[in-house]
Amino acid sequence: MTQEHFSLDESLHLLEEMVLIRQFEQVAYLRYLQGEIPGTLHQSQGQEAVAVGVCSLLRKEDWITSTHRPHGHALAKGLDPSAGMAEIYGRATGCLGGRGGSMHLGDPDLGILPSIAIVGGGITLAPGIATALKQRGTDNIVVCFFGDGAVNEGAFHEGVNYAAAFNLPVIFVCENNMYGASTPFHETTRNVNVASRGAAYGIPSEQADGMDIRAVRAATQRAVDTARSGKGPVLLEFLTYRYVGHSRGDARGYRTKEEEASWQAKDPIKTYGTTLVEDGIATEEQVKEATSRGKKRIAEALKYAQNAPWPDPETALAPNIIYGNPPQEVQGAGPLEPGAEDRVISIADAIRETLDSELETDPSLILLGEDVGVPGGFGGAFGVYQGLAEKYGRDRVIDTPISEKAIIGAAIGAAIGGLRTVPDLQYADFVFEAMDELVNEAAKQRYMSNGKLTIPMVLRCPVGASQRGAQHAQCPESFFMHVPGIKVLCISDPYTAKGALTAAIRDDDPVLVFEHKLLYGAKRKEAGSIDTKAYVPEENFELPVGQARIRRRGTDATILATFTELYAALELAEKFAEEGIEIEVIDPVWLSPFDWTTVKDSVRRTGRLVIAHEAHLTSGWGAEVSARISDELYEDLKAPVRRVASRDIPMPFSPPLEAAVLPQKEHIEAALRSVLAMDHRRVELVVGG
Amino acid sequence: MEAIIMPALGQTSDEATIQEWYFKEGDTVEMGDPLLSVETDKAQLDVECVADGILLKIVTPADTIVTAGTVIAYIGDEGDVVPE
Repeated sequence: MTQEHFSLDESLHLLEEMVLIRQFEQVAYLRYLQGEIPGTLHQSQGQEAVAVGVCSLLRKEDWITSTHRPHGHALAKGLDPSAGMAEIYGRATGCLGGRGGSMHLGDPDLGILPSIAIVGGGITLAPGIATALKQRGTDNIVVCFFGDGAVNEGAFHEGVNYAAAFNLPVIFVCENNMYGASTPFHETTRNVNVASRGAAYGIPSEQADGMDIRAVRAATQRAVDTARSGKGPVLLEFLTYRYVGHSRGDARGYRTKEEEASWQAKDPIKTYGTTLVEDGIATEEQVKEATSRGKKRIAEALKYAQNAPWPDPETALAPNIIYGNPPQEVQGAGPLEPGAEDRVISIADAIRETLDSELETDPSLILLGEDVGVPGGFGGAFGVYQGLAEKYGRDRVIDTPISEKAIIGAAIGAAIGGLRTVPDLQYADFVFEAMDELVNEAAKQRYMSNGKLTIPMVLRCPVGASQRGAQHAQCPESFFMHVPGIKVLCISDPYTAKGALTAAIRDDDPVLVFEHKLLYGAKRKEAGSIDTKAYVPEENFELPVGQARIRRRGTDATILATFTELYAALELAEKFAEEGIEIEVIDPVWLSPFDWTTVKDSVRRTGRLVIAHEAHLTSGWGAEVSARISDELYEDLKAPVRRVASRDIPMPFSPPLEAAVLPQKEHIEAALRSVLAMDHRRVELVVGG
Repeated sequence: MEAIIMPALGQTSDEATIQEWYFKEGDTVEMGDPLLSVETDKAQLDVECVADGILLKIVTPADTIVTAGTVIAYIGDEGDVVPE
């Protein structure tokens, strides 16, 4: 197909940008071999026409997501080559202060998300960023780059379908370079025509020559017109080739010299320069000048990077880079206060009121999940969202496909794009579908962005065994206590539900909220439900993030418990009181940040600690608390820290079997009695004389 | 002026034998030029020049066995003094 030419200035600019990327990659490659660049490099020599052709049609306010091979995309979207080179050198003045490096190159101020080095990872986030751009009334768009390898990831299916379902302004750009690392694409799929997959999602798609910048621009222009005009996503496939190996140290033994030569004959830079001269658009001299301008900019970038300072090691720990709202030291809250009887409500009602009020006061807040707003539908799992869609509209209470990766990816992307988001899962067990989005993106994008991004997302997850078998029963909160960058909230009473959830929604960091099915007090009654109704003020209020609650004060032993175990502990405390033994009952509320001050103060006073949770015993959150308290309060403890938890067995269905796996009140009582019977400090004093 | 070091090119060994220098001292070289050929444990390959300038000194002549990280040459401008 004959492609039209652009103006002289634009043609030379496109050429210069391609040269800039090629030279950046070549210089980085040679400097890497000289030992100047740490780690590894994934480079894009040969693919420059795609990066420049696509990004030259974007605005600064448009976003791109990229991959482990991001140098070209970032430079083409406007990243200063000096800041980019300094970043891959690991220097303080790199675009991300050295926190990202080659595989995470980006700059949110330029609409470049720190690139995502998990194959396909950007495909679920891009629809979320696009949701934010659309919701905020702009016609800005998102371009999501990925390779051929990514189209066989589940993320591709979920992300493209999600964008299509909601008509979102995303251009999915597949750079098909024929290999996923060393494996030929055709060996991994029956359908090697990536563009043809657009039909599966009902969206327009196009395949074009990725070695010809004019073909790239023509296809991209059509896609940009579609996306900007509100007609939804487009899938573009560009056939291209990386001249170099997958990463450094790849000798390319899986390709023939002939194959490489055939692609190099179509080199996007050489052929474009030649065409410009042959077609009378530019003179040879002008092509040479554009080439040397591109090279000169990289020579400057190299000098800048080589002389840039290393980051101060102290700054690796900077709390405000990890969190938008870094953990603060807080005072534990006291027992729940009584109040007006008509304000004694359930956890389900408290959550609904909180969301209702936040939706009303913050127009940037959206809820999204399965079955949350369909008229006549469920109103969310356990009916918590009933009435909210009718009140705020289905573009703010969004019914999603059953696509957990896409739901959470979209929630993260929308939070990055400037909204506040509350996605929810029907059961916490489904969170494992989206571990990549949570652990690799939600938890890390702020840090990788050097503190430039905030991710105000609150994910609601109902937990707990309730006679549904092994896959609708788990308490996975402990997994996330292990992940820096994520905050973990466990809701066990209605007052804290309102105060802590309000704080979580207004917080700038990702918060995972775990709520127990048997404590909701919703209309749908569950066998074994516990009445947790309590006084809750009508107005929304914030409790400090990371604040534990002392539910009952005592002097003889401390019990730390969440969910149903918290209520068992409160009952037991009354029983012990009749014997003249005063148990202090603490609900940690937040597992991350954890209220060590309140728990330690209590254990210093009582000298005894029992931890009770429904999460499995081994590596449950109690293990971390036990280790820290045993280590740091060794001299205050009168007895070893005891833990009571679910047995390390998948949750069975049959009620007697389920009961055999769950921690029971009598186990907690036995643990309390065993620590109360001990005072090894007194023994030591006697022995020591 | 900069010291050019032997890159790590082998798959299993850090050692390589220099076979031939394509330039002699005093020649003008450009980034990307094949500068010398070496033989590693797996293959014979060229080492590309990392900078523009004059090849001031070849430290390790042909037939030398060198370890990755060793200085093999100096490239710089006319008049730069190469350390002994």
